[in-house]
Amino acid sequence: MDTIAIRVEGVSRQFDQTDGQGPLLVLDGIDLSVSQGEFVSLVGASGCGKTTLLKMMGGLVGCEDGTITINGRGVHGVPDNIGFVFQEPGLLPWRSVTGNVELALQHKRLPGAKKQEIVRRYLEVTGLTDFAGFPPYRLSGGMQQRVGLARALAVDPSVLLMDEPFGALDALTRAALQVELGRIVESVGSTVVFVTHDVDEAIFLSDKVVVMGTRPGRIRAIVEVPGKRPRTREEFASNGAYLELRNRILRLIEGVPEAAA
Amino acid sequence: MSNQTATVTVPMAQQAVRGRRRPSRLRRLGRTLGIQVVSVAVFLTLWQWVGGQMNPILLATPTAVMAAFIDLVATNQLQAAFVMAMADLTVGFALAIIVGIVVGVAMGRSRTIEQVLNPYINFMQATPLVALVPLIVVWFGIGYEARVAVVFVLAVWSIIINTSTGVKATPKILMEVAQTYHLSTFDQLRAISLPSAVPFIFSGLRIGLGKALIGMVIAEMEVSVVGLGGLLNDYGMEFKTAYLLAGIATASMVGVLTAVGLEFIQARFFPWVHATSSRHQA
Ligand SMILES: Nc1ncnc2c1ncn2[C@@H]1O[C@H](COP(=O)(O)OP(=O)(O)O)[C@@H](O)[C@H]1O
Ligand SMILES: [Mg+2]
Repeated sequence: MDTIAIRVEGVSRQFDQTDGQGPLLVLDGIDLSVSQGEFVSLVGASGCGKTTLLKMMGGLVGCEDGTITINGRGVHGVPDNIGFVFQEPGLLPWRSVTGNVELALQHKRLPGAKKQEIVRRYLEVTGLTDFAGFPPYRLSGGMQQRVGLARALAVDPSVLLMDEPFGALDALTRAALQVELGRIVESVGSTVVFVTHDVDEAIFLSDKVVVMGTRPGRIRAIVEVPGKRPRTREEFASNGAYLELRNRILRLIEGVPEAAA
Repeated sequence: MSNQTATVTVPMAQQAVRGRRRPSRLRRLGRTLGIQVVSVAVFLTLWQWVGGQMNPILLATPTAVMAAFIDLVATNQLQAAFVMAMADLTVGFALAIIVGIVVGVAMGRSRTIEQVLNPYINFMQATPLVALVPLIVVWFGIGYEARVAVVFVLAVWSIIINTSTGVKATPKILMEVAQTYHLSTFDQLRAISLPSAVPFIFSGLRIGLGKALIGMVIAEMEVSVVGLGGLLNDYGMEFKTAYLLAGIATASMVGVLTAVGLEFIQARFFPWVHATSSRHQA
């Protein structure tokens, strides 16, 4: 039996609207479980509540209806050993790349030398060693997202939550980072929940793709991706099963029922 | 492998930026400078000519002002006035910076403190602060303390307001980062909110410095007749217009030099402010 890393049970979430139209139901009855070491993507139209669900798992948005547990413990506030990679890099321009990664360790009671060693290791893992002293604004968008990833990895997260981390990047940078992310996740072995609206990206990286519907956000389907991670581009391009899966997921996002497909 | 992509992308991006910007920016700078030099030269020539036709009490010529300036330096009057003025300005402004930032941070962080202090801050913003000078004399006398107090009272409010605005404007994403990595309240302030308020604090300092200079001159004319304000006061009373204008020019220079000093401090210690704001504009 797999051990469950993340369990989401009966989670709903509404937000008060500013224009006084009453509350907006964003998530409705979400049930989801993610096994230890699994890579799960959330895909769905913009505004379907992917970010909200991810932030609820990370304790950044409060959970009012239903329960979320991570490694068996209920999420109230940000759990320990969680890494979060945001849609925007969210870096401090007044700190170097090294300083930004160090931020993740600031609250930990570790000797300075130990912290430095951890920071150096994850700069290496993310290919940032040559840029350690750079300020973030001297880096390209892809490099900035690498810093965000290194910062998340520095806490040695058992769960890594990523919110469209490559969404703002050009196609080539994005493709390169996808391959690297696959490799990095494989080597650190953490459980990943990855939000994206790019179906190819979701299939390429994941064990499971969770397709969400809009207004209110519900889970339409959970699709298993065949083959082992990390996948190679060649394998991904040559295997027709992936293309078929892609079309199926796209139809699900558009809201075509499974049977009609 | 990853290092390869890295070393390729970044230098190329930098080259592209340099190649595009360098010539046009230099040319624009040269053109601006040229126009300004011509403008000043034309103005000084006109002034010299008009001043020559008029009663020297009403308008002294640039050459007369220059002569007065040299005389003031030779008799050590200007240096003494300058030192006095700087003593009033720097101490008053330094106190305003400290109090302004501390109060501004407190207001930016705590809704309650903000609600408690806002009425007074708004009241002070609406008051023409120079009207407080007689009251300051009543409280502090007519010496150094009173002059420092005038500088302080004029400068502090913009610093408070801008600091508190800056602290409140900490980007939401950075607050989420702080939350994700369990920063203590103090670390959140020290590592995130305060640095992120730096651009706001500096605009508060720029506005505050302008007001502090006004406070300095007013205090040196109204509280005790000393320093640069005192010099202006004395030569004005004697209708020595050339000396008066030389004093005014010196006061302007103090303003320019301190403003440049402020920009230098920002560029030297907070280079990211300029780098990130120009990126946003681009
Ligand atoms: N703090 C909030 N207050 C009000 N409405 C919110 C808030 N956060 C998200 N929403 C709304 O919830 C919906 C889903 O948002 P989000 O989770 O960001 O979707 P996605 O990431 O799938 O694009 C949107 O309509 C958004 O406007
Ligand atoms: Mg989103």
